Amino acid sequence: MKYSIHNTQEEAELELQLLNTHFNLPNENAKSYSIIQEAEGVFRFRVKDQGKWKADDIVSNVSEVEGEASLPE
Amino acid sequence: MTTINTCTSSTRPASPSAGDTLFETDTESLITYDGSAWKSYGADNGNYNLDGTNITSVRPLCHFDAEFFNGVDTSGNPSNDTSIDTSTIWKSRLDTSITLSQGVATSQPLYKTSGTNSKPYVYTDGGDYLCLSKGFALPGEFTTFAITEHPNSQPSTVFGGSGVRNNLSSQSILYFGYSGNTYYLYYQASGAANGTAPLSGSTDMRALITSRDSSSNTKLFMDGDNEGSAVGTNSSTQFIGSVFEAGGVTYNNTGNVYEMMLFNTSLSNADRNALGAYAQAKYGSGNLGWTNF
Repeated sequence: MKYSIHNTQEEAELELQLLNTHFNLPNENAKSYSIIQEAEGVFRFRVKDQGKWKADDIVSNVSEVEGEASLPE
Repeated sequence: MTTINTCTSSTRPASPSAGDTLFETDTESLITYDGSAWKSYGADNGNYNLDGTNITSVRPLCHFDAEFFNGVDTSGNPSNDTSIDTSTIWKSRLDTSITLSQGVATSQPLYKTSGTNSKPYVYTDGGDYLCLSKGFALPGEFTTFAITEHPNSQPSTVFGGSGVRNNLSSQSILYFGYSGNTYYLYYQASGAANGTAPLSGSTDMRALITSRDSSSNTKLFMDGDNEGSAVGTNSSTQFIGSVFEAGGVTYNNTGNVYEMMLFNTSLSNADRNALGAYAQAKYGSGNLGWTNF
């Protein structure tokens, strides 16, 4: 899965807000584009790389992140 | 005395008027035409008629069937690759007020119109989940049933989660699904109860059952009675607030889900076998293995 990865919460929020504006969110289809997570000292949010929510080509700092196999917390 | 006319699910009136109401004998449901589609209202107790042939003696709390996306019939099925969002909502067949939807764009599964045996399914890519319109508490016995196709080695939660949905953050959340090549059930509050189930092929169709009985023993079954063993003893109330979701995004479901049911009781062998017969008739016995209990 692809993520947009940032050093601070503020940077991630700014980037996510740009995507919400790009997709005209919130609307009847979605409340927001993604959710920011703090993981391993960075702030990241998922980015779709196909379909109508594809944005990996317009957002910054995109990296592929392998899913870590840990049991639910 | 007023008598309601009868029909079957295959002999519904061809040109109904809004408000027309009949009793459908094969599904044991009242149906009413709302001007554009038939709405079905089943009994809230007693048998559950799965397909006109196979019947369980108890009714599930919910039954999400991708073929009946609007909970009633096939008329409301979405187009291929439609995102399940806040305007495209998956409704339970038993109580259409129980729904699944997703408001976050990057967490929306896709509806697929034709999979195994040309049946529709919901595809989740490992970062998707759906929120239940209401959470379920399971204080005692329960059974889950799901028809899935799962890529080998991917960690996946099919039914269960999440702690933050429906104000369940402080509760014990039930999960079951796959951990690599292990078919697992996980009681959040009391640790893992793992069963093993070998997987073969990349996207084998499987019928998954978890069941907690009156002795609080939880067992996992795959494709009928070929993987059953007591995998955990837990008597605490378990909760479910969403589906396909666990461990942040790291354990979310990867694969295809055709349908899911949740019962607040364990099932007799006859009822389990009715589920298996129903699933094999629908998806093809060549595609879905089943060993009777």
